[in-house]
Amino acid sequence: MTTSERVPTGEPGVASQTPWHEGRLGAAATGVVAVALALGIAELLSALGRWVGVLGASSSPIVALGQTFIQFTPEWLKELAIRTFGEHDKDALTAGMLLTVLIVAIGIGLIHRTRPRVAFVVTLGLLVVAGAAVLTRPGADALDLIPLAVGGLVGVAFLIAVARSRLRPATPTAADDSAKPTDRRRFLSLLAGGALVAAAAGGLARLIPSAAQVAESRLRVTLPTAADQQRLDVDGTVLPVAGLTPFVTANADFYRVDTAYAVPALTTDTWQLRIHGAVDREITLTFDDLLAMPAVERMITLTCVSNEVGGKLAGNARWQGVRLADLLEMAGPQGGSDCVLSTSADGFTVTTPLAALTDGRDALLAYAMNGEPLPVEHGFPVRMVVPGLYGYVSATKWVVDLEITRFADVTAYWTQRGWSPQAPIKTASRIDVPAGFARLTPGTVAVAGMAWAQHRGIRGVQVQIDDGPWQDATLSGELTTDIWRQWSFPWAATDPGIHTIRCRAVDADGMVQTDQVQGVMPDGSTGLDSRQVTVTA
Amino acid sequence: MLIKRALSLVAAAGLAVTLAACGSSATPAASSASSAASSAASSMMPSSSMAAPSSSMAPSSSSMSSGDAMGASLVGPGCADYAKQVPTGAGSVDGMAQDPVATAASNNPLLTTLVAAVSGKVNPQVDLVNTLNSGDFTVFAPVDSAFAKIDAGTMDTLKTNSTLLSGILTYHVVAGQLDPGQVVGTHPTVNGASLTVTGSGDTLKVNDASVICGGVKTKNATVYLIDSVLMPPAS
Repeated sequence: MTTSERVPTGEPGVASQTPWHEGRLGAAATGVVAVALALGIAELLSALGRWVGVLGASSSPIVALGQTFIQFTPEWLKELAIRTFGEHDKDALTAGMLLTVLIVAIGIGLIHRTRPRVAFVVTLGLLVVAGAAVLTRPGADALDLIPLAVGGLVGVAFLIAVARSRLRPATPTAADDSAKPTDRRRFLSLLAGGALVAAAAGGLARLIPSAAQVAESRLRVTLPTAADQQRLDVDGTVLPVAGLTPFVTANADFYRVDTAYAVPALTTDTWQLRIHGAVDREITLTFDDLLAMPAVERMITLTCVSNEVGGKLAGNARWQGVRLADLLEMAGPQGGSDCVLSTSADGFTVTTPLAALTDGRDALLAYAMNGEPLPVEHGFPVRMVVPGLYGYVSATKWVVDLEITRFADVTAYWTQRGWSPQAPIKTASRIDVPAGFARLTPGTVAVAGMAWAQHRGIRGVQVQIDDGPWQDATLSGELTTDIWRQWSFPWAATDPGIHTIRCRAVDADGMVQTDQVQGVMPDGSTGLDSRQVTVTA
Repeated sequence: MLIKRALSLVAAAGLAVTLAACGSSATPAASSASSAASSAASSMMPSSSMAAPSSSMAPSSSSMSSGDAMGASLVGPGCADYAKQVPTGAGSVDGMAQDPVATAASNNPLLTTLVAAVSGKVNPQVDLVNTLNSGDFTVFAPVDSAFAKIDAGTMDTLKTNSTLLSGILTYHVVAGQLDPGQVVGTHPTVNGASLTVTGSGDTLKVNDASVICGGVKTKNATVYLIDSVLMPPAS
């Protein structure tokens, strides 16, 4: 089998193109490139779609086909794979699937050489099978077919282009396409071009970080032990009241507020933090650099500025990280700067007073939350945590850039939308039990809740029933000024009827929480939380 | 010569296929982690109203029930008019989803009288704002024209009789969120007395009041706009 056959053209003395036929090897290459093109482009589109969050995992034809393949693999074959390949059984089955795809591709190429129309039909049939594989994946929807559809279109277009590169024979023949000479230059450039595009698409698809890569990166993190750990007796201090908010908020329950349409997909090998601006030295940190630095672990309560009175946008966790003060000292902020503009991987910005990061409080560049690497939706791999400031002016998640500058020169995301550039946390308290509109049997009712005034501390909490006097509640231990406190009050609820319970906190400076009602904008809500309940007869 | 070229092209194509395969989340084994992660990620996605100019005004938490972001099952003959009257902003259907119910109602121009009544502006002794914001409820919200049907004498009494006002207001609140598919039936209100929702499709009645537009989501409560104030049964 040769790829080049010389056929006499007839008239001597007349220059004519030597007829050339791509032969079976060329045909096989055509099929492989067509399928590679279709798959490469489909995978690229799928990776892009998954990255921005509009497509699911089933939009990847290779994933969908692989999962379907595994689903239909007979048990004996699966067991053979496990016995032979051990851990790599799934890889072996995938390789088997890809080999099948390669054989099919060669087949399409060979059919295309003689009967291009039949090849189209076979290709369309295979696209339908692949489409069915995509659609039958759990959670798949019509959108997930787009990558396969576009890739399939490109693959078919390629086949058509190759078919077009065949010339009409000089003499009419009844033979199939394999007798038609091919425009050699066009055929080879099509093949080369197609292979190049397929390789580029496949390569690019690989570069786009997927949720699986991020999850894997997170699992591979080994947390160093913080040199400076707090010694806190949390268990000895918690109040034993049913229905009270847990003192430490589990990662899965921690409130989440951000503007991320799709959670930024950062891995530890690609993450970098650049510290620049009005500094003597620009610094660039990698994740390994950060973990090698002396770290502290601190329990800090965070809260969102848009937390309404009585709301649940507050949480308390142990954070481990490097003190921002240390990092800033390394960079050397220049006189006149008063602000740090931090940027998230998705472009979200935050302005924080430089003073709050350097005044000795536990402002951290954190990489761990409650003893694990940051969950992806809470800022993996690195975020800022600053006690005493609302999140929108301090708690940049997925942080990748710190610029030392002046408030006069920059505005951050929420500040641009009318929120206050400076936002220290206001004193707050809320009632957890009893529930609103609860119907209570007469007797002693446990009234309890939470109070916080980060970085000032809570001195006391008081409770009022109807128009009665303000009475002191019992508090959980005072651990640090950056952590909230639980409170409880036993109410002798003997009087049947409707009653209103109110609470208020007093901070460590002696300032009583204001009863003025203010909405969340521009710098946090105020007002006293209250519950109407009914004591039954 | 040509054989070499063709072979190298096939090799390149083979490389492309392999790269494409690796370009996906490695193997189908890894992809189940990826699909779990991406389905977890998609349930963490902010509700679609994050993109609307109205609700990008405040940092707000990702809606855990992203399903109802897509202007879910609203019922009632007045929904189109409501949407026309309040197309965007904090008082629109999308805007209300971002706020707890009393705050959401305070931004809705159809509910000014109700808001005054629950926030101590009608009777200073009756302030239910924080209580309404504090749990999961279904709220039957009489619109302003419903309150206009009450005679002036009764409205005056409500200014000083807090038990009466409180009793009426709490008769409009049911514990737990009931969407339009669940709301038909008899439900105990936080007042203690029960109300009954009848009808089907776009024609729902709550006792004798008609639902103008119902199933409107707020952060903690599902709201049904009704055209009359409900009176609790005399006990």
